[in-house]
Amino acid sequence: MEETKKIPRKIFLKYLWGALSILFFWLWVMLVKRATRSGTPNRMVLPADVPEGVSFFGRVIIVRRNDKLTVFSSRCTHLGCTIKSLNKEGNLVCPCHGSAFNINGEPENGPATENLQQLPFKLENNKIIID
Amino acid sequence: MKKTVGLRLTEIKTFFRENTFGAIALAAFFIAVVSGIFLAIPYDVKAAYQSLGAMLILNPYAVFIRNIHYWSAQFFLVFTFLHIWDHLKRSGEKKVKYGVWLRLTVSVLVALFVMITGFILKADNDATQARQIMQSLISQIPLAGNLLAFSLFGNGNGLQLIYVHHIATATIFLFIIIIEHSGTIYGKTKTFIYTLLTILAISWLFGAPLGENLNNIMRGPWYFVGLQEILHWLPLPGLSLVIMFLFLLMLGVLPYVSGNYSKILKKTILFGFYLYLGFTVVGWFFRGENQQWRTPWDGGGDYLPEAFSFRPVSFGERIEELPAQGVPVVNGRAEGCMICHDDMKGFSPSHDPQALGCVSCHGGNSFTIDKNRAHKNMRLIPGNLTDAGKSCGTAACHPEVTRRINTTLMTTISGMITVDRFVFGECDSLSALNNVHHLTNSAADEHLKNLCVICHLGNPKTATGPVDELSRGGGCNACHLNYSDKALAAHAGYSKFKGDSLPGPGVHPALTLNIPDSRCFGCHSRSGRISTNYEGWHETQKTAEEVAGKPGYRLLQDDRVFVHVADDVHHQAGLNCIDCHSGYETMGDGNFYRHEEQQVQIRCEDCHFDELPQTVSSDAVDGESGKILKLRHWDTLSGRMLTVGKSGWPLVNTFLVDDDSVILTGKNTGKVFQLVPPSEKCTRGGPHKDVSCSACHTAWAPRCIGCHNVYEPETQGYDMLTNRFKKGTWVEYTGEYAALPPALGVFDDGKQKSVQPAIPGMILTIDLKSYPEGGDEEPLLFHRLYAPAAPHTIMKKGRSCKSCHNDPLALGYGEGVLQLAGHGKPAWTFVSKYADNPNDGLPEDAWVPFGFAENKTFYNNVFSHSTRPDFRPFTIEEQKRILTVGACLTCHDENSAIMRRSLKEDFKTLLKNVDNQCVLPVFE
Repeated sequence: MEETKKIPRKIFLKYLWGALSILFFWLWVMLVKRATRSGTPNRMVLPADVPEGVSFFGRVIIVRRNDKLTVFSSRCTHLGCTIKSLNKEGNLVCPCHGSAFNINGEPENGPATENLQQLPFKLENNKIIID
Repeated sequence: MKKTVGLRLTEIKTFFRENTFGAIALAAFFIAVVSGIFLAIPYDVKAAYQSLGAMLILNPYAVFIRNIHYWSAQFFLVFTFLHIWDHLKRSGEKKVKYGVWLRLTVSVLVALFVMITGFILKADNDATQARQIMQSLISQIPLAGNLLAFSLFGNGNGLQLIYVHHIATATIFLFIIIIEHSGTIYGKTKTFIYTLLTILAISWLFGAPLGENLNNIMRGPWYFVGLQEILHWLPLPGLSLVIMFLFLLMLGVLPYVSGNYSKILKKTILFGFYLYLGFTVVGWFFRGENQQWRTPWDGGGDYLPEAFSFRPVSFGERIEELPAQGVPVVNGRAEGCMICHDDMKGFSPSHDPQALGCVSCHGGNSFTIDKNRAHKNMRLIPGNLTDAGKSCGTAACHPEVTRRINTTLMTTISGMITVDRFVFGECDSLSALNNVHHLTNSAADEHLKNLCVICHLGNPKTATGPVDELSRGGGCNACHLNYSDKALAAHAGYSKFKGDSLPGPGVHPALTLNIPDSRCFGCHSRSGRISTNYEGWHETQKTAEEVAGKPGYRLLQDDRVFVHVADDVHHQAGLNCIDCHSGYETMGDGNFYRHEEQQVQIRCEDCHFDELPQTVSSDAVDGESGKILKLRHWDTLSGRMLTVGKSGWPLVNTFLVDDDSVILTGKNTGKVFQLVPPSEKCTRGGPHKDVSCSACHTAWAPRCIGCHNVYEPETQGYDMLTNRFKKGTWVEYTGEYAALPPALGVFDDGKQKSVQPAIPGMILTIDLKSYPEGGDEEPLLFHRLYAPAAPHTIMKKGRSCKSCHNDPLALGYGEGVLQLAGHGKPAWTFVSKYADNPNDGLPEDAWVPFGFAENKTFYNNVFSHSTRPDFRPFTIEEQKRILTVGACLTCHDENSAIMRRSLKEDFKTLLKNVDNQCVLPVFE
């Protein structure tokens, strides 16, 4: 009779522990993925008659120049702080680390190196709709 | 036997011996955990900021617990690092199992995590930004970054996940590690008790911070301020994670290395620690709003950590007066002030405390109902320029305006300083850019301080009450503060009876866009006197007694007597100052200007045009103009408006009815005015194309000649810059005042010319040697400088031709009789009203000498006779041309056909074809 090859209990538990860890890691990853997707939609509806220049509305910044509207995310591209004011040069300035962006969203002063994210929007019934 | 009272010295020494750092950290952690459990009772994770504010206002017991939680956490962190340092110093890493050491190393991160989540849970502006930074930073970890960021901080605004990690995940992990490392929960009993007592004492005396979300100084917790500074310099913030990882790696591998390598690693860690400390100091003391450089003394003391402000917990605060609906909340912030001041009325809608709260303007502390604490560091009168950035200019309100206002001439008074220094011989240029804040103790600057510089916006308003004729400066209040009748009565009553029992006058003055002319009056009734001129009043040298009961006179609050001459046509119509002068003129447009005419943008022709100028749609105006339109409810009109030709800014109170018709609405009055085009005479060009509107339409201008300035060291004086009395002052002995049509001068930049009114700006003598530092040898300084003027005495009908062409005053000769005399070879003669001034031989009020021979001394530098580098009197050639026409006018009526032809045809050609009877003057 052939002798059954036994896996030592310690080794077995180690593998089991490893397999369960992988399982839980997978569950964690999937859970986060679904949770990210199932977040509540963050639609913003703003009046389209924003004045010429820069207007701050929480998570978005609207720039109006000669009737042309541009919507930027107010998240600084350096580390995500909310930009909510202009500096004396008229640039959008991040209060956390001092990055400054011109009204085209381009960085003028560091540390940020990337442009502000331009957000797509729709104009309906004299309203700006940002999803 | 020796009796011992309290702690023995040796016990204290033992307590602070390095080997107790770990025990203190352990005790502090246990205290933090237990206090956290109690703090969870009043803390509402769904309305965290609001619940903490309410806690501070009405629940001193919760405040004490929160303070204990905060301070024990700080103790835990500080003593944990001291404990690590202690381990490294004593090579303790060699005595700990490697697995345990590794877990301890990781737990440094967990300790920082539990601290930062606690910081984030206070949910003020600093906390919200810190959360976003942590999310972004962690998401930059390769592969698992986003997973970790989302799992640790979530991705919405809710704090539930962070709260769970703070109270459970991280805390349990730390407990396990601590028990594994030390084998105990709270450490040594004695150490625990001493630590607890220390934390209790500190927690009673010093409060845990909570921001009021009023400024743009974003600062992380003290242990991350160094990181914040490092991140300021790192375009690739992920590098900070690498640095952090390397430090943890160095710490983690320490048990494996020995000898010199171990020493090098430890020294590197220590060097890194000192470097980080340096970054922390820079970040804390040298960074201001928006991370801009500043010095600690620029910040007004706000560089001190809020937690170190002394504010013992008061358990006796009464909460019976709380309104039934609980603590008032404004913009998510609990506003304790409004519990006592809930019945304050009188605000304009945009400054209603229901929208702004009280601390937004007045500062103080909104998180308490204790009067003394609430009013500590409060600004009774907000809006002075020294603190406007913290009140009117906070991020959510008017930050751009409070920055711009420092550039306006009304703040810098650059021109006044430049001209004064010039006449004192302290500056060669009339184009210098100066600032009232940079005055020295020179003779000129002392002269300014004694006599002039009380009128600048930076001069603070120090007493409550309305702005009146005696008011000077006052920052934002100088213009925008409006006392209604009710507010005036309430203020008068409160000033009389104020005491602890009164929560305030009951009616607050309003801050509005309606700025009556009286706001401008205090300063502008002096110098050029445009406020009084506009209303038709001319200053006299009479006394109140001399004019008592006589009609036509006006006595100002400062006892100066004015006589009525004729008011400006716009004043007659009912226009106020702000109907023409916009915020960009008065509050500055961000540029520094040297002189008034450079800053003022509005021109007569902006409203009185023959062809429609540039217009702008009301929904495409700049942000500030748009805000004004909304506040005035003019945004609904949705039409086009005029723009200022010089600057392009919109004239927000003008509206196009159609292409031929524009109306202007009075900003204060609501009166509607139809804008009228200029007369055909004014726009046809020809020989008068360079003559400005005001050169013809100014009815009169105030003149002052023969002023003498002397320093009197024994006379009581006043330093207008510091608002203090002092011994010794410059005194101005004035000459004669008169209200006469202005002289005319020419702005001439070599490309364009513009004839403008001119007045004797500086015909004066200065006894410089009378000033202590003036020097005994200094001569008596004499100047004869005319100044360009905008007298604001516009009349509908322009000056007659003769009033310029035949008038010695207009030409700059001064008052007197100008006549064309002689037959056959007529010549102009002039007899002055005033005697010649011995200093230059010219009549006292003259600008230029009468005479047509080339006067090289005078005319070679024709620009040196005015207070502007580009403003001059008429040249000899120009005088000859003007007086040639004047000669014609001695015979021909100005409405005669020949004189009309002279305006349309070439004058030289006309002269060649004159009748034999016409004799032209000879200029010799």
